[in-house]
Amino acid sequence: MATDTQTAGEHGPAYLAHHFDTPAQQFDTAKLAMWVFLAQEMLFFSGLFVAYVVFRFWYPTAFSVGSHLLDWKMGMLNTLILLTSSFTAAQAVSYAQRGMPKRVGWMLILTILLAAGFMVVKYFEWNHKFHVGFLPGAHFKPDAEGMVAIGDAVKLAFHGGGIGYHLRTFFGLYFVMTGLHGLHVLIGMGILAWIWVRNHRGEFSSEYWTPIEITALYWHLVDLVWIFLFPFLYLID
Amino acid sequence: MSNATAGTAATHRAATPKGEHADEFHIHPHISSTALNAKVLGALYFFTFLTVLAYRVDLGNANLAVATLISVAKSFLVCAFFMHLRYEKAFMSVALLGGIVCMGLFFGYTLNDTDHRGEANPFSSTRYNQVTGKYAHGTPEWIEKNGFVEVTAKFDEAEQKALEATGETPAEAAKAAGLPAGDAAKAAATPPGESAAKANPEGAAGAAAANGKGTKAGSATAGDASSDAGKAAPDAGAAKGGGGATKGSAGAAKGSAGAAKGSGGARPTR
Repeated sequence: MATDTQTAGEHGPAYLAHHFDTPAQQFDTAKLAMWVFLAQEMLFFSGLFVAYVVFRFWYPTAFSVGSHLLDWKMGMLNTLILLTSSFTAAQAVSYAQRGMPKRVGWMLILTILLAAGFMVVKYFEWNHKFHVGFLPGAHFKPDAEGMVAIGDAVKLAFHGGGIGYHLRTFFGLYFVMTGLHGLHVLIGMGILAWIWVRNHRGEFSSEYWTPIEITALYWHLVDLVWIFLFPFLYLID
Repeated sequence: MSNATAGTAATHRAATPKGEHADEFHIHPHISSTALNAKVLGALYFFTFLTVLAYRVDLGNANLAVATLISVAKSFLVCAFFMHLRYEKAFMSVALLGGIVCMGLFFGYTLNDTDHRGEANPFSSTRYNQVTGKYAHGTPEWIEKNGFVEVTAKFDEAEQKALEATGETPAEAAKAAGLPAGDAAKAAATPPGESAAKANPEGAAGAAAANGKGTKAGSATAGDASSDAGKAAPDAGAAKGGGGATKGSAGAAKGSAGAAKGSGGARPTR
């Protein structure tokens, strides 16, 4: 890292690490590293998506009925919330590039609030499922209310006709996938808050906004994963 | 080393703006306008509504493909505009494309195996091998052993007693679970390997086996219990065994017991 004692004339601006020649090189290196990390994240989630596709083709009835036990309206609300938060994150970067730290701060706060809204909706969804016993795998044990809900879902499902023993598998995937995604949202909220503090301290300018952009890239990935999770979990015919 | 680096930087600075690195010292980002970002957000909203509409149309297996296509289109918008990939150097996209290629291998190889393991039963979702008539991989052990009855879950004994206290009949329970007795019977009769000759020898053995199993099923899976209930029903002497089997199991199992009564011969087969 560049030290405070270094004057601008010796090597470059204070934010320029000594192992980089130019800010542009440093910026591109940071972004490339982030993209490599995002590719790794993608592969991390792809394992779950492979499991999802295998089980969905094996147990179409259970997945059809299972998706009707989720509230697609809540899923859609969360999709719109997360898409909007991606927009505010993109706007934060845009304002940073233009050297408008106050607006950056507001965009970061909006992003954090939307993320919190997403988690609140998720809390209500998860809470209901815990309540009626729609738990993953071996713990799947619906109560009377859950059984009635299953009966209603069977009527709605295109593939209906049998309940399908494998609802437990569907809810296993549901909880692991939305759970890990939710964890990413929580971590993202923490990073966004940290970036807000740094922005508030005046660390960023139209010359240097790399951490904001890197954080936004992470946040967009969280959005990308949900873009697939929503139709795959909530919208099965 | 720091001297050398500082020297290089100094050279760059001296050379700016006419030197060979003139364009690389300062960052020249693409700045997305608010209007552009808003348009992208609008398109993403549009695709979200589209994906909800698309799922309400029964396209059979194509539903998954349509949902995936729409999601890919949304992802493209996010990557290209929000993530600035459109304006970045190509090697940024290489990391992403590399990941996508690996994912393709991962999906392709796995599905090439798992999606060719016999036909799926539309009611039970179990798969069976058309040649041997036996259940294929991916079918739980207890189904392979005991045959299939469409049951998803078990109740606690306490919960079961509470249900019984409300005076619900099996038929009512079946109705509550959305399973008309007739349908349930059909579902029970559907599992593969149709021939009764192949039927579970334990089933033929009669009430004793059913009773013993029913007790076990009460603590294990409802499927065990109700399948035994199905076997036991045709035999008058086995009524107790069937009842015992139902006791430890779910409301849905009650429904199945009713179904077995209705159809008589609706015995789960292999």
